[in-house]
Amino acid sequence: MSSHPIIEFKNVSKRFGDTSIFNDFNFSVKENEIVSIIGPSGSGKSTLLRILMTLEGIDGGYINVNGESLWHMPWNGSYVPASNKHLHKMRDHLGMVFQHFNLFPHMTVKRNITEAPMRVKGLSRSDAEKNAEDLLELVGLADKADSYPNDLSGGQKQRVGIARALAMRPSILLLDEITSALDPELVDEVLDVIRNLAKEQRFTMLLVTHEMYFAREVSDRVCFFDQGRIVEEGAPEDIFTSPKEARTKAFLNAYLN
Amino acid sequence: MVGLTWSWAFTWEVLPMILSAAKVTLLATLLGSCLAVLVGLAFALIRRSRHRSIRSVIYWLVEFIRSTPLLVQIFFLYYVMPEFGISMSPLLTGVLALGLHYGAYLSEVFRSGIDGVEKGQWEASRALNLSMFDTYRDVILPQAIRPMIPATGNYIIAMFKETPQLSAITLLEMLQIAKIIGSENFRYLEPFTLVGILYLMFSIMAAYGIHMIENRFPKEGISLK
Repeated sequence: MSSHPIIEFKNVSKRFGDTSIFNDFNFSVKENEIVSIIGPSGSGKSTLLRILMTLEGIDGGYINVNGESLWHMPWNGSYVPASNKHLHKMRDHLGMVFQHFNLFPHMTVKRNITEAPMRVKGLSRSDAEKNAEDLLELVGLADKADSYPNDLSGGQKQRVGIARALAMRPSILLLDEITSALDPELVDEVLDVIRNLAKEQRFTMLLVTHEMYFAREVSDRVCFFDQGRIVEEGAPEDIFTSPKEARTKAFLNAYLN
Repeated sequence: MVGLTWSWAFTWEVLPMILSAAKVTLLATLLGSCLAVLVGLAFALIRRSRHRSIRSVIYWLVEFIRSTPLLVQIFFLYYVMPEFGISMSPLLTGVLALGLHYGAYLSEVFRSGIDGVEKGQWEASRALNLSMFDTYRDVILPQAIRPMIPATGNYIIAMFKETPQLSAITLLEMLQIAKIIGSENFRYLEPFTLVGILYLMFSIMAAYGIHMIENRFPKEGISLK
């Protein structure tokens, strides 16, 4: 595992209208590291992922992904706001799985997975479909290739969501509360897929989650967020068994008991 | 005073002429609606541009077209444009006027259809790095079309019923032919009644057709395999 950071936030600020989400925020993730972000709602956890996926802009500071600035690009010796072309290039490193799946309801499961590899990476239909079949195998849905998303259960939809993100071969996978919209009995089938991915340690994974036991099990590092700040971070054992900060303690008590 | 007695003989005599003029009416409607859909889609997409100046040009253009009478636009295209060296046949003028006028209305229908597609669909497209073009073509428009069908259909029927305005620039559509037949024979009852009945029949058939298209259209949008 290399130690150079694949994601770096430097003095980042982000506001929604008058509400400040991040102020002078610093954060970094190493290559192939699996980081869980926990914390109360509204603490900026999802915003962090959405900024990385370029779904939200920033109001100040810099973010580097893979050594390159995400929201800025070099121009005539200084940095200017990124062009669409630059953002397009940077998004190539990233993949995201959404809380509400956001599958394309008018496309078959297979087409959901092959759409971007064909359109963006220019893969032939046969190569893209071969790849999609392998991914569906991986998430245990080989028999659902020709179904439409609305015929699937929530857990199945989310597994398709994971396969769809993986099809673009991102080096960084962002998982935004991927089990929060699921019935409790469907949570495990989705987490199992992530467990298997985590074992292989082939990606950097950044997950926002409310599944504390899962975060403890798969993460290399856990960050407790509150009000746009990292209140406490460390190895999962330390955070879950002996948290130092009073707020972390209170939050975990409320969640685990 | 001539009594209002219906003459079947005269009816059968003039029916073929009116039916052949109906072809012109239908042709103008068909070409006009194709143009209106293209214009409406173009306006709707440009209204979503990131550049405020481009957005506001289209906004005012749409407002202008919607707030001036169709007949004024028809006259302008037919009588004023030749002064700028652009003269067009009555049919071409009519198609252009109908296409622009109804395109302005349709752009609002298309805009709300596009706005109705869930935000998550845009976000997923972006996360998958799809280009704007691919996002519209493969993700947004296939889902936006179904909710647009009823209002689009209503506008096309409305356009069809406005084609008699093209008689003002001598297009030989149904009403114009009926008027000519009437003045030549001093009988207006049969030709105008026939025109009314034909409009009624075509409108009812079109409304039924639109209803069928809507019902058969998948709820999720155009399916992509």
